[in-house]
Amino acid sequence: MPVNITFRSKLIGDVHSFCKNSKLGILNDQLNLVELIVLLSRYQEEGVDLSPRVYITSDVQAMAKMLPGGEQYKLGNSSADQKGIKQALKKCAPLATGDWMIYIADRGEAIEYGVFKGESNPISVSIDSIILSKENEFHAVRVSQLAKDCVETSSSHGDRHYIFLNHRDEDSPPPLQFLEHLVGAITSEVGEEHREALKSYLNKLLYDALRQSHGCLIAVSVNEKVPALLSADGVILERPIDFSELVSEVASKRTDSAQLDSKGTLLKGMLNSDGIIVFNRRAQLLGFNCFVKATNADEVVGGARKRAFATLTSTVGTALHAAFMQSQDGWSEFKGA
Amino acid sequence: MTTIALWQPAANELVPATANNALAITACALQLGKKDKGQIVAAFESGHFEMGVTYLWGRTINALKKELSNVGVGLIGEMLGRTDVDESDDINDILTEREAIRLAEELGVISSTDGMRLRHTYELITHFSQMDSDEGDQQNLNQHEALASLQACVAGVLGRPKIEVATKFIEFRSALEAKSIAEDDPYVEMLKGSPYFFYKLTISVLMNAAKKNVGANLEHALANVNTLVPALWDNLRHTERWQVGHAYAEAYADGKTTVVGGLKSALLKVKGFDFVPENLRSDTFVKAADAIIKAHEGLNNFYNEAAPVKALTKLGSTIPTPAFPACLSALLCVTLGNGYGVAWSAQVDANSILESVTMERWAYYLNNVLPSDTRIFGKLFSQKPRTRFIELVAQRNLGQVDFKNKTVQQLIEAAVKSNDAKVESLARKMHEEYYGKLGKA
Repeated sequence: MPVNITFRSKLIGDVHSFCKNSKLGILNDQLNLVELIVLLSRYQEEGVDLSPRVYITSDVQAMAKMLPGGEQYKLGNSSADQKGIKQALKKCAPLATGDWMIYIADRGEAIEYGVFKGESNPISVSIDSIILSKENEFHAVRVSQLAKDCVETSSSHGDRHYIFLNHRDEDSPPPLQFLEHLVGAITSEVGEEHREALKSYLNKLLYDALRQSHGCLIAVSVNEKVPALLSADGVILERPIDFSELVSEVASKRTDSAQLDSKGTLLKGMLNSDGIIVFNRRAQLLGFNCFVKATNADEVVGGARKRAFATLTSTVGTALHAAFMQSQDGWSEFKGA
Repeated sequence: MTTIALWQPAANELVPATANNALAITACALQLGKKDKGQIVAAFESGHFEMGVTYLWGRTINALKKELSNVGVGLIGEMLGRTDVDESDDINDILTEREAIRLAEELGVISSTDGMRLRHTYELITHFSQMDSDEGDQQNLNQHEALASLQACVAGVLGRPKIEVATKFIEFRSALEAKSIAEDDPYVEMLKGSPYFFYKLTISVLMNAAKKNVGANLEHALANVNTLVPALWDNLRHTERWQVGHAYAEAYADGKTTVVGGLKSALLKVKGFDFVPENLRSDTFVKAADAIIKAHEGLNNFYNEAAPVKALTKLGSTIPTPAFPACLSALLCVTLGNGYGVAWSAQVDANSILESVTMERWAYYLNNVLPSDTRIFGKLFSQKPRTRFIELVAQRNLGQVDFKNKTVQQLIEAAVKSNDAKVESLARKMHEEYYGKLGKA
């Protein structure tokens, strides 16, 4: 008699303590979380890949009060089971793009679902730092796809899991693991006054952009200019895009946040171009579409991007302050000085 | 337990009693240059008293505002409840003459007596400047009034080599920003036993520190927010609660993660998220209210009030709750007017908004805002605004409100009975409750 082997039983066992600690009634049945994880790992509607962020909360009103300037639309009610979760996702996922996210309010036997967003200002504090906090009086869990076949679950009680639904090693670094390191390197010489806002902005921008990117390389120059090894072959901007200055102007209301959004769109476009994007440590975007000649091609196993990354990392500490790579399937590497 | 009392500057006799003419008094004005002194003396000696006093007033108020700007324009903005002010703003753009005198008193820059004399000088200038040309030709500022004004300006402001904020205020502020106060620190108990003005000032200093400080000073400020906001919360009036909630919303929109963390923690302790504005749309209403106050307290107010009141009506009839205290206070300024009357051209629009204020909202204002609305209860010291207040109470049927504040209840009951003298004495009682006994009106 043939035997079915699935990840399901393993997954149910592994999320048990996460569900229990979350203190959310709907997660008393681990199958509900497993259903959500599996759905999000490769979610599609009408053939379009979607990667919505889903928040399950015990008190959606209290959550909304903590997000002034935000908005919320209830889209329906359903049963607090796998069928209800599937329905919530089906109705909400196509709407949960850009700033919009999905909420599932746990109401015991039933759930309420809908979409919500925080403050529209691009430099506003990240929602996770407010909602996923131990001191809140309500409980919350976030479930989102980081890369294909990789889902992250975080709870307000501090639990965090990366769930790989493929054959990755258990000690593999998760996708976007180095995002904060990269943002830290890009902002390392920015003045203290607006550094937090800048970090918050770049984290949100790069989180979204890198999830949609098909792989990229980012170098952070030690100096204000593009280092010689990258300037020979690439597009060097005559006037760097100064994200630090833009954030400072938006924060002091001297300029409209649309100015910052439009520059963010440019960066997203550059991330979808070939070659290396170059920043300096003052969060100035110096150039893109830059190429390096691989110096140690024989020693590196991998494609052109991997070889270019190896060349970049060999100059970290001299010409570069940091180098970051994201592969096509969403996994990243980082080396900083 | 010792309570904190309103600060007073050190008493100095800056103008000797023997100085009884313009030359002798002006000689004591250390902050005036030779040219300024010469022009003032020349104006007085040639009988151009209005011209001399107006010129003198410009110099006096500039010196006072300059000193106040040293406290920090951001803090001044917090104390005035202005959400649109930051350190880069010009003090002259945000502060009216009356506000400058009031803040100078509150921060111990000038004594309450000097404050009263400066206010009187300003009243005189306003009075004569508002006369039409025919009336102005018949009525003149006389020598006695001019010399008294000169004396007030020199003794209060211009006679000091440099006017300074009271040392005790600097200590008070430094205690809130430069070290973390423990919950059992005697300072907390002392603050709790102090007049309401110090509650308000503490919140203003802390919110300003949270907005502008970085590093260790920010950590101290946020630690103190988490100690003092819960300690004071139950007795904080809604204006100050909204101030804390607004600071949270602003920090959230501006990406200040550390500040948001600190304020959120304090708001959770007091279950204060009901006082976080849903959005910053209310700022537009607060700005409109500020424009009314600015027109009302500036020169030619009878001509200038109508436009900003109309602008407020155009924002819509539903005033968001966070902006309601500022808007109602501004509208009451227009309705009650000043010692000389009201701006008739602004009354129709002001009344149209007041018509839409429900009894619940009046109750909210009277119970939660009026006890610390110094501008409005201060108006009741003057006869004409007091008479109009009594009319307003009757017109809006405010005696029906469910009162939670005893003094306010007595005030409204006195107004219902048209007991003018009692309304005045209760307004003075409110002043004393707000500032403490030293802050005489």
